[in-house]
Parts: sequence; C-alpha cells; structure tokens
Amino acid sequence: MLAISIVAIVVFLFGIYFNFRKWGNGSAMNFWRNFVEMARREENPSILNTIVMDVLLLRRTYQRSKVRWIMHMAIFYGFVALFILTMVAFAFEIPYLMNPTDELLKQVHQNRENYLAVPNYIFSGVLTLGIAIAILRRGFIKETRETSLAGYDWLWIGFLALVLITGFAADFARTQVFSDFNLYAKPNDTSIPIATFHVVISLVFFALLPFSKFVHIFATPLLIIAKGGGK
Amino acid sequence: MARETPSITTDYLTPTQLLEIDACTRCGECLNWCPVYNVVDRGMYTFAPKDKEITPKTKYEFTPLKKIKTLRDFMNQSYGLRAKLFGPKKIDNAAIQEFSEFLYHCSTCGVCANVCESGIDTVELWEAIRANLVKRGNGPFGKQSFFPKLMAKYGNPYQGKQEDRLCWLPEDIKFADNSENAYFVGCTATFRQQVLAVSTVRILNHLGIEFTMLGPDEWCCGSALIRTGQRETENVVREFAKRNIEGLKEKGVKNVYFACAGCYRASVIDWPKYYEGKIPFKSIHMAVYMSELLKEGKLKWKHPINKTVTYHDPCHLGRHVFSEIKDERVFESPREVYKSFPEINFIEMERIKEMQRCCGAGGGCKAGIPDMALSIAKTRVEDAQNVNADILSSTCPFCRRNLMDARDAMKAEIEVEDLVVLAAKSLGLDVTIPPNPYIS
Repeated sequence: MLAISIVAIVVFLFGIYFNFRKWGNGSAMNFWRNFVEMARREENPSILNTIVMDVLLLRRTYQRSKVRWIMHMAIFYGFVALFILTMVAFAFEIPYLMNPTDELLKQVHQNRENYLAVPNYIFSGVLTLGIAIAILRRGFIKETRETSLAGYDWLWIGFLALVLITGFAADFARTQVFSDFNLYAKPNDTSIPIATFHVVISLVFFALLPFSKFVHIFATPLLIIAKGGGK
Repeated sequence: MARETPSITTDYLTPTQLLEIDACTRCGECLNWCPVYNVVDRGMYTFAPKDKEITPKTKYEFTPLKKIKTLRDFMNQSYGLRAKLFGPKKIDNAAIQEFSEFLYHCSTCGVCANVCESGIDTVELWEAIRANLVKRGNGPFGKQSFFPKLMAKYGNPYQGKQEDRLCWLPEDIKFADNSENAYFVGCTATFRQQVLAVSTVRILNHLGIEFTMLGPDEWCCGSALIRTGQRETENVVREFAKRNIEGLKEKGVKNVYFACAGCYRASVIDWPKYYEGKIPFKSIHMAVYMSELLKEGKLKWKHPINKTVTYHDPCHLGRHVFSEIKDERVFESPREVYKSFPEINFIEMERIKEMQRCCGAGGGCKAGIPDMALSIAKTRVEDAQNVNADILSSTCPFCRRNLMDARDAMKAEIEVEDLVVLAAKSLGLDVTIPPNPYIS
C-alpha cells in the first residue's frame, strides 16, 4: 500500500507540474512569474482577503447560486477532510510499524479507525450531499444535463461517487451495519479487501486529479488569486 | 516518423489565460446571462451563414461554457499529456473553423465574466483567441475582414474621407487649435451619428469650455479591430493609437472628452497596451463630465423632457471600464444626469449596471453578424417596452444605432436617443446638423 501511495503522490505531483508547464507555455517558472506579477498588482485587494473570501468561502459562487455553493463546499471540504483523516490514520500506522512490539502503539493502531469514526461519518455525509447535488443537478436541470457533454463529466463524478461508495461499503463491512451495528468493531475478513479496494481507487482518483475535469480544483483558486477575486 | 506540430498554437494567450481555460467549472451560470445564447435559445436567431441549422445540441456551442470546453479540448490535444508523450493530435481545420464561427458569435459584452464563478475574464480571453485564429486564417467573421483594409485606406471603417472629419461642425462653433481640453469625436459620430457630435460641441460652447479637436488628424480608436481579433493586422491599431495620442499630446491636452463609449473604452483600456510611453491625458466620458458639471452647478436645464426615460448602460462605458478603473461613476453619472432633467420620469429596466443586457452591436457583430445583433437589440427594446418607456436612451452611438434598427424592425413606438443629445435639447441648444456628404 505504501508503494501505491508513493506512486500516486508522484503521479499527482507530476500532474501538477505538468499543468504549470502547460499554463506557462512550456515553462513552469514562466507560469509562476506571471502568476506572482498578476497577484501582486496594485489594484488587487489583499491576497489574504481573496484567499479567505473567494477561495475558501467561494464568495463568487455564493453570490450566484446557493445550491451550487453548498454543492462545491460539500464536495471540496468533504473530500479534503476525508483525505486529511486518512492521512491521520496513516500517521497512526507509522509509529506502530517502526515499533510493532510496543503494546500501547499496537492498541492505538488497532483502534485508529474507531477514534476517527465520528468525523469520518460526518464528512462522508457532507461529501455525499455534495455528490448527490451534482448528480441531481445533471439529472434534473436541463441545461446542466445537456452541457455535461460526452459523458466526460459523468465519468469523473461517477469516479468520485465510486470512491465514496466503496468507502461506505468498507465501513459497513467492518461495522456490519445491517446486522449488528457496531461502530467500534475491528476489521474482519470481508472488510479488509473492500477497504483495500477503496484505498487503491481513492489513490488512483487522487493521482489522476490534475489530468481530469477536477483540475479546476487547482486552476480556479490560482486564477481567482491572480485576478484579485475576479470581476 | 515526424511528429505532428500542434494544430492550434498558444499565440497571444498569456499564462493566466491558459490557466483560465482549465479553470472553468462548467457551472453553467453564463448561460443564464449570455445575450447570444438567449436569442438562440428563444429561436430569435438562426445561424449565419444560413445553411446551418441550430439543433438542441448545437445551441450550446454559442455559450461561453462550451467555447471554453472546446478550446480546452483543442489545447489538450495539442499540449496535453498525450500530446507530450505521443505527439500532438491533429485537429481538423474544419473543426477549428467551426469553433471560430461560434466564437465570433459573441458581442464581447463581458457579462459572462461578471458572473463567472471562476473569475475568467472572457472578453480578454475571446479577443486573444480571436487574434490567434486570425493569425491562423480562421477569423474574422464575414464583413469584419474588411476592417483592416478600410482602416488602413480611410482611417475609419465607414470609408469617410479624413479631410471630412469636421464636416458635421456648425459654422458658429468655436474651438481652439490647442487646449487643455479636447473632444475626441470618433468615427461613428463623425460619419453616421452626427447629431451626437453636434450636441457635444454645442454643450461645450454653451458652457464656455475651451476645447480642441484633432479634425483630420483624428484616426479610428481601433476598437473594431481589437474586438475582432485583428489587433495585429497591418499594425493599424498600434499606429492609430500612436497618432491619436501624440496628436493630442502636441495640442497640450490634459482632459479628453468622449461621447462614444467605444472610443472611451479603447482610450482607457486598449491604448495603454499599444502605446509605448505614458499617456499624458485623462479620458473622461461626457456622461461623467456632465454629472460633475451638474454638481458644480454649471448645468442649468431650460426645457422639460416630459417623457418616461430609461437608460441602457453600454458595455463599453459600464461593465468593461468599471472592472478596470473600479469607479462607480460610470454607472451612476449618467443616472444622475437623467434624474436632474426637469419633468422627467426616469425608470430602470431589468438588467442594469454591471449586469446590463448588451444591445448586441459590439464585438464586431453589427458588421459581421447583423441578424444576430438585431435580434439581441430587440430583446433590449423589449426590456424598455416592459417598463413603458417613451425614450430608450444610452451613452454610445453604436448602441443607439443598433437599438434604433431593432425599434424600426419591431415597429415599436419608442424613441431612441443619446443622453448628450437629450442634454443639448434640454439646454435649448440647436442640434441641427449642417449639410454634409454623410448626412443620412
């Protein structure tokens, strides 16, 4: 799993670098020089204000559509929070792997998912809400449906939904939610392969982000900062 | 085997604009505001040239969202990961030509930039891509291609003679050879909408404001070429900007007054890009200037308007300039002047100020795609009719022309008049145009 994680991170970082090069007309440095020059223009409001109001709180989206704002906030913060929680769980694993005989570390390692269960449920719910809105918008709003062309949008939203569903499936297998709901259960034979599949597919998703429609996760905040919040 | 070269280049696109292409989230907000998509969706406009049919699917090709999507596909085929690994994928010229045609179906009004959640500056992006397509041989569209030759030959797009630049000037108007103030007339007011030029100089004379004009040394502001992607063609834009700026400089001008929103926009946003050096004067639109004069108590109206008047914000005076200079006066000043007229019922339409609905003439549409420009103007006239306005007024002669054409096509009982002309009339000034070869 560690190897897959490293590969995913390398592919992700390469993707980001590749995009910087593409935006910089073949030179990542050219892109950054232009970006810094744009972001530091006198007429722009303070960068901190732009980052907080327009990047983190999506002010422009809020002004135009509350539904889209909820959707974007839910997908972005749900995904980011789950990613951070996964990293935290991973962090629990490292000291144990370094010293597997330590009883306390062993106990912490074995129960790490239980400690993180509640925030994981909350942010899974948040992400589910965001994805549900994205799917419903494409299903019920004619223009959104008809402009989601060539199945491309569906492919990536489907991919994200698959990450989410496999996450739930892994957790349900672990807690046996349909029989004896047990939030603090320990991993069993069924849950481990599903969890592994979920982690692998999540890492693939993460690695492919810079090459997908979700490249806007990086491009849009950079653009908004460069433009001082936009028009 | 030799690799393909990219079918489409990044010429004229800045790193920020290349970033913009990937920043579109395809939220679809632009569809709610785009005047072109509006007339296409309502069936008010069918494709030019006429041999093409608009289907439920192709109508989205007119939207900013789809234009960016297509451009992103082109860029990825030319510079994406696959292109880097295996060489750029050849894009059929017919596909690029089709994209170009859709791209030119845009009045560059910029409302999509205002509502864009990603902050994409679509006007600048479209103009850069148009320049790219012109260089490639896929643009401009229709009669827009005559602009560079006409400009180079005549100095204006109307084939007027340079020596006739002041043919509209009443004999009793006094103006100086050199002055701190200048009136930049513009090609449309000089050769087509002369009542605006006459009204402007009448007001300046009436108030005792000394001013100068460039006369035969005034050249087109270059707006039509820049908007249609022909900014580098025959170097006309750069040359004309230089001639105008240096002509005004030689006359010792510090304030330049514009009654044409298009020329004003060009002087504020475009000229600084094409002129090497500091521009030594301030550009002021007559609407803003009149509002200042009002505050100073210098404008005293004599005649009542006795009509219900509504104001159409030109894109080039409002949205475009506001985003650059962040000065609310471009929206408020015209309104202050209207409201100050005696016996006027000033009323606002739907979609005003920075969210205003475009008249459809800009971006080269009036010349290149007149049917579409007319259809869009009809929707604006409808807006005015919906509030029972007697006069639909603006501060741009190009908007006025297009709105008048729409009014005539609709056989609507509504007057279309410029704010400056209304002001001259309310001051009791004679706005009669002297006989000249261009009088219509």
